[in-house]
Amino acid sequence: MQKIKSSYRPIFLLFFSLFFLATANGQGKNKFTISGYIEDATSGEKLISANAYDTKSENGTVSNIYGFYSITLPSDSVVITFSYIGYQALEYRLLLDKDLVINVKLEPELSLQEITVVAEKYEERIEETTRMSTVDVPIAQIKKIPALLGEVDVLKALQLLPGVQSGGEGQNGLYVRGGSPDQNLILLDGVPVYNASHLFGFFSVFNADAVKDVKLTKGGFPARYGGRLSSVIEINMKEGNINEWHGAGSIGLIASKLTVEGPIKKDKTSIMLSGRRTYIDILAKPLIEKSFAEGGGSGTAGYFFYDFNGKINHKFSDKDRLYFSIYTGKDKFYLEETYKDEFNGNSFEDETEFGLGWGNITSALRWNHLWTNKLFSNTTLTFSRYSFNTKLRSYSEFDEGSDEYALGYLSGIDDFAGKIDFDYVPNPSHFIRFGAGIINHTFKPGKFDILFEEIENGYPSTSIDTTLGQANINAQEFSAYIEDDMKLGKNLKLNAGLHFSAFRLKDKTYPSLQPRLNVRYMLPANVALKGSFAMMRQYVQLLTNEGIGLPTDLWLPSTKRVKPQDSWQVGLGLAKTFAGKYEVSIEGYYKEMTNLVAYKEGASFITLNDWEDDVTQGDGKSYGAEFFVQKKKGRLTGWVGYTLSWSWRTFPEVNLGERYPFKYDRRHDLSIVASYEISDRINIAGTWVFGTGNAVTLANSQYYGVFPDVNFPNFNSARINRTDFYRNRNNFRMNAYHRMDIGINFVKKKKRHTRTWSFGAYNTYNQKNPFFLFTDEEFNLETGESKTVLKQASLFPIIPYFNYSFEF
Amino acid sequence: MKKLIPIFIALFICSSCGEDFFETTLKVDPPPHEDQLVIHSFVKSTDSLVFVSLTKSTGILETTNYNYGPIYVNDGTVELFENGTLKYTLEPTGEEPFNYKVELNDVFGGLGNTYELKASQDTLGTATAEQTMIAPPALVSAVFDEDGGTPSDYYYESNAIDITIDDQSGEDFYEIRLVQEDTFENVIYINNRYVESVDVNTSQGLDGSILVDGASFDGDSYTLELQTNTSWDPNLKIYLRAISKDWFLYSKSLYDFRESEDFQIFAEPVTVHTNVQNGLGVFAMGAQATISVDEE
Repeated sequence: MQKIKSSYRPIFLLFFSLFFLATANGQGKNKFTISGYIEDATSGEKLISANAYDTKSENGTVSNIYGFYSITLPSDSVVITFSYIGYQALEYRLLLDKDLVINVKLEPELSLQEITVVAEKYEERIEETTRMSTVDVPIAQIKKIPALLGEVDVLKALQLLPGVQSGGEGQNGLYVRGGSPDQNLILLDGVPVYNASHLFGFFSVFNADAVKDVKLTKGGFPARYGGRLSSVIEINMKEGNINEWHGAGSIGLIASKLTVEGPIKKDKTSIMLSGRRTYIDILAKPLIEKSFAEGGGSGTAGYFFYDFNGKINHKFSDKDRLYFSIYTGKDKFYLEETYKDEFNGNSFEDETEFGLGWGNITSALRWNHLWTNKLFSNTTLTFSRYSFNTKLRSYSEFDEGSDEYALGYLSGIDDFAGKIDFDYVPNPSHFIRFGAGIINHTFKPGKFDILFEEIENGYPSTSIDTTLGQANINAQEFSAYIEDDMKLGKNLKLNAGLHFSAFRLKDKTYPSLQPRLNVRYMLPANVALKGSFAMMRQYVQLLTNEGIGLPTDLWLPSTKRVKPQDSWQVGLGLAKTFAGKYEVSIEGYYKEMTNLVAYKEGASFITLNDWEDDVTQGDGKSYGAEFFVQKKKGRLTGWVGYTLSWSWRTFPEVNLGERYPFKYDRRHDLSIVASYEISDRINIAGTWVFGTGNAVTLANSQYYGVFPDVNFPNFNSARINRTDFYRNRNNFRMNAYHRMDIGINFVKKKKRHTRTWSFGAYNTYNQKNPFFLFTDEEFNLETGESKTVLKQASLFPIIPYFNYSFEF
Repeated sequence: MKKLIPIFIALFICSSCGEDFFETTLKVDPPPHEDQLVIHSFVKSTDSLVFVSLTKSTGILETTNYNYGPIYVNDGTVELFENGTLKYTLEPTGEEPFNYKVELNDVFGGLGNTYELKASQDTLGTATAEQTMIAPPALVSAVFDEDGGTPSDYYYESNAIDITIDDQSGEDFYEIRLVQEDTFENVIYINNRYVESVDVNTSQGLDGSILVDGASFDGDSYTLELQTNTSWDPNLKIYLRAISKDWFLYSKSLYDFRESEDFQIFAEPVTVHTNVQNGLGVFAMGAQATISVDEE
């Protein structure tokens, strides 16, 4: 491993000096610590980022993702308020003369009902937090957003946030601040999910009924995150109700879901199980089989996907908890056909099989341990697998023999990982996190199994049975970090940290040290001025023909030839909460990326070349401004997000080395999301999105390229080839995209359960949005001439949906 | 609620009844286009004929006349300037694909001189391109190695030819061809032999040629391996051409374009190189060295 560059040493020294100075500060006597967990009183679910605030000293802290909090205060009478959005606040008045453990249970607020004020709420407002470019979207809000075919989609909800764009109509790929989808670290209970798509990207793998919390970070990355350039999406599964058994389910147009959760041992062990499956294959099976029969044969065909989420957690004591979570999901397309016939007294039989399958498995075992009332740790062991396989087999049998052809393809990635994270809260002015981890990656770049066998009169005439492809690649990724959330005086807050990572291949090691900084300074009138700086490095990349979202997309590592991707990003913004309920932020950002990976001109994933020969590396740059207003409370909730942005790419081997706009360079992007509680029983929700059209490459002109052959100029001979000429990459803009979705939910409480009927429509005003462009011939009946025209194809017209769901 | 359900069901059913509900295409305007002159000319220092192909480009939707081959421009003026002075005026020949030519009294020569090719036509304006004549390459040896080919994952050619080049310092590009020269009644007939190479400095060029970028062995002697299934023959020769960067880029990009046509929408678009100002195509120069292939 290379030595850490000497230029990093001053950063190290400065950081550690600050760290030790900071932790030493406030370590005086006569201080005591209140610590514990903050949870939902009814389900026992731990509440993430709930507030604990002492109104007398005006010091506070927030709970971590396991609900743990710790606050150290001077020995005095204290008034601690615990609060969380959507829950009734709870106040404790104490004489603090010793360390205390207070496990807090907050009662959910009942919407639109008279609320008894237990305590005045202190909620950490947007201007209070140091971090910028981070958005929490409540899962309850996500569930209300009208969705394609009524299938609630976590990732599509994130596409409605400023700085985040979708790739194309219906796709759930996320393009964050000019980055590509593989630059997003999607963590499900801390485990990376490599392919978050079902049905070629139209649905995500996350079943909203099993999800507890979603957080997106698109800039100002704290040091604990690493491994991707553009964003971190943390999705946490529900833990399971520890007090009583509950369930939820739904029946929709394409899929049904069922979730059950409850205590195996009350207050000790809980479990959550959730499943989802599409059923168009089951419903259509009789029709498809009939169709095969009408063709004179027999067979079946279909497509389905399913997801299963499971989580079990056990509380050994107030100091030790264990969580085990698992996700598995798969897409499968299949076709089997048999055809028998006779001709001139000779019988023959044909069999055809085709299968296409892809899916993820993620699992995590996590152990929470409380070392002291100020030091919390989480140790995680994870396994993650993404695999894609396809099979094609054709078998023919006839009187004299048989033919068999078979092609199988397998690719994917396996990760085994271990990490340990510590939270240390020495005093209210510091929240220190540190940890380390290792991931063992096994990349499977693609293997073909080929079988070709011909048998004549009982003897093989031709026989090939072979395997082609590229060898698996093993690599290890190490990381370590330290960061401190500091409060320096009344107005200044800082989150400073260092992230170290290294990637080891058989013949190469890449180390990297990445400083991170977030600063918040409170201006008059409670306006927060925020700034951030983050360097990031990424060692894995997805080879993809952008936008199509095929499961054949390959995850591949950095190698000796293909360097790791790097980025640095700065952000500057203002944030303020108006009237206690409107969070307003405006942010500007500038991001530079190096060693980005793209296919070379003319290359395609279909070719059998070594992938390293097919890719080229270059740079990217993106900058822009984001405006965001969010309202999380009240009858009317939702947000308005607007992004003005530019995103460029420069690859020496693409576009003659000249800079060109990124395919998803989108000058304007606007999203309006609103849901309104008409009554306890009815709520409506709507979204409207507008975006500048995607950039595509269209030929400017056509001509015939001429190249002399070997006898030239002795002979006037040459090869000519009709050629399209592209003056610039991504030189043409498709039409702007805009769409409105509307949904309405009717909720009714029954004796034993609550049921909801949901109705709505995707693309309500039936806008013909661009999906791709193509040329077509138009024939004029009057003149008898045909003319070539350029056309835009759209994918989804208005698509109504309904859905029945229930909770018990 | 019960009253509303029928309304929603009706809406749901009726929404699919529109006349053009499934009509999901719209006509859009293509990028603006202006017809331009297209020049193709390839000149080697040993040539005694200079040919130019002069055609025109069209918009991407203009297929009516274009499906049948290039649209030749035979009423233009084509001139070749040497170091800023008019050297040759090429005459239209009415032949294809090179429809202008000039016959020289001697070989072209012109090492180190700068040439400008200027083509003009009344409606299409004037297009120009510039090149400098480069020196012939130093080809040291070409040795045939029976069964010496290096297998790769996807192909296996049985025989190899090791070619040694003495590279000069500076930016150098090469084009290599394996040919068989047969003489019949004092006329030499040249047959191209297909070759491949797994050398990292090579890429496939047009007409079975191998392109070499000399950047990694600048100023050094370098041996690279060609693979072929051609058997050794005393008439086998290697044509090694030192070619201009424009020749190299054009040959490589047009080859990539042709290959990408097989994969249509799945392939990344290829920009075919041009060095023509106010037009398209390429004006390229090179110099050739020839050597017989020695039996091992």
